[in-house]
Amino acid sequence: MSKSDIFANLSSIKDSDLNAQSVSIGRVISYADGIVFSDELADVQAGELVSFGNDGYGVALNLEKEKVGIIVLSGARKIKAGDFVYRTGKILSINVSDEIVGRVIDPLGVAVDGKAAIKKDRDMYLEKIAPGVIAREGVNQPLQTGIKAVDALIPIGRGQRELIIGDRNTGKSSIALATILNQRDKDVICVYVAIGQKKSTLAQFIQTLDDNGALAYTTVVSASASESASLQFLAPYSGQAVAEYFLDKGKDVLVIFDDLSKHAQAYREISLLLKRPSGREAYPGDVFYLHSRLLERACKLNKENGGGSITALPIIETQANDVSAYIPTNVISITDGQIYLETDLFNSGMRPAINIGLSVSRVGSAAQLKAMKQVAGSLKLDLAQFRELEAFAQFSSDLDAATKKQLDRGKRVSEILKQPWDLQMSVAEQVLMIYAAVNGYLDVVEVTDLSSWETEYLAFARNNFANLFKTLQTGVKIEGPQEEDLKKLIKEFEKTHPRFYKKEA
Amino acid sequence: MLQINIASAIALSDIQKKKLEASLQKKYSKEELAFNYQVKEELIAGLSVSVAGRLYDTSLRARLNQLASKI
Repeated sequence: MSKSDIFANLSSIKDSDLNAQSVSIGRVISYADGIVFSDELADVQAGELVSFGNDGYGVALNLEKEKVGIIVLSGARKIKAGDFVYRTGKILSINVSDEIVGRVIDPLGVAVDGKAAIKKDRDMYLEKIAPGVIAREGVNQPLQTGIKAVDALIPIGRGQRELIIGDRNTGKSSIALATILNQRDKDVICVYVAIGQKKSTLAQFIQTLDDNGALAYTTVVSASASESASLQFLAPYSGQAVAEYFLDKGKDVLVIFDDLSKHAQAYREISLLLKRPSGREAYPGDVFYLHSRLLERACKLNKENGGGSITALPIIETQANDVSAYIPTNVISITDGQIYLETDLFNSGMRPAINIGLSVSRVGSAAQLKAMKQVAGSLKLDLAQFRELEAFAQFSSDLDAATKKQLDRGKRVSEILKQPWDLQMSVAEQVLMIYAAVNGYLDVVEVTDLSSWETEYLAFARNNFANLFKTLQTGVKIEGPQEEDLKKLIKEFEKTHPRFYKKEA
Repeated sequence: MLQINIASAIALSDIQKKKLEASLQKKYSKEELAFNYQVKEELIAGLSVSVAGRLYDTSLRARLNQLASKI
């Protein structure tokens, strides 16, 4: 502490009024399962932070005539019946600064990665009303996931909310992870909120981020399975508060909630213990509002309001592909589309296991790059025709040439949508591949050869057609000169790599 | 009946209790009062009185806490 600070403190001590003031208190009536019931506390606000003394804190959630229901956040071990409960006059907030990027925090904003304490800057409210209509604008900028199937068919725009839904073990978190990894050098801050996950899984996730240099622009909010339900309940709001700190600075933020089914369960636990009436599947009546107020805070702000955005990718785990269960239907209706993953596809080797027919993006196509839009249009058509014919073709063995051709095309198109989770593809690479597939240049290549064809073709294009590559990377519409270059590229590749084209010869 | 909880750092003498009760009775003249005494060493010095959901804390501990929060 410098000298001037000491003098400033001394004068503040001198001026401070230390006369006893009456403060509002309550007493702990009961404490069980992380819930305190307290009497009195007559003027406490809903959602106010209350103190139990000795670093014990909680949030008042239920205000009743006789008692107040409080969820305990910290210092749970020291609470006794009869203890005083004090008001703090503060609404729950976490302190965020630029230093929070690259760190792992708990839902109260405290670093849990064993590194130095995070510098303080601004208090961000956990609960905040979402920006209004006037402050927003339409989604108009793409958020590239680096996954061909998503960027081409289910494009995500900055400021969009796109649900990732599927059974356990279908690669939901992998899509989220791949999307984070693909944001490198794209000036996007990522926030990953882990709710009710195993600590081992999370440690592995963080390690992967670190190994790929993605932790440098990512904040992880962790409320693992061993944390109390109240912390799991607060975690997504903390993540959103961190995202809003950067939004206010005009940045683009990607926030991932992994996953909201566990979040709903944590909230159900709290609600039941607070003796709130339960409804369908024992969830409380306001479980829709729980998620809608969270996801509504994802936004794309207009220029006057900084122009930042928050893109939200909530994840929902279904049981036995049942998307009509309570929480999945809720979140589907809140979000601007969903990426639907299926176990059958996953097991048949289709990875990412995206069911193209059931996945949609309601606003993303407005933000899709021109070149991508151009090639993706015919991709959708090819896939739709293929699906229709595929079922039909199983019945009859001899098909006419046209049908057979369509089937062959479909097989190849769906084959090129396969992609290992740790391979992020740039816009140019995606456009090159999809262009080749939908224009029939792959019809002569064996399906089993396609993945090595892809690797060599892209390397060839990068090395020998650097200019075209650069142009495609900007995503401009493919017109005369580019189209010619694309054709030339494929022709030259055919000449130099004859091993892929045996069939034709 | 109005419960009044009085905590002090050291046990109060009977004379002190009488005086305190008389002054509180004057303040809440319309109510019947019940006094609970408690010794809390952590207060260091002074009294802390809680009545009907309000705490009047004149202990040294409370003032030190107040001071600490100012700095």
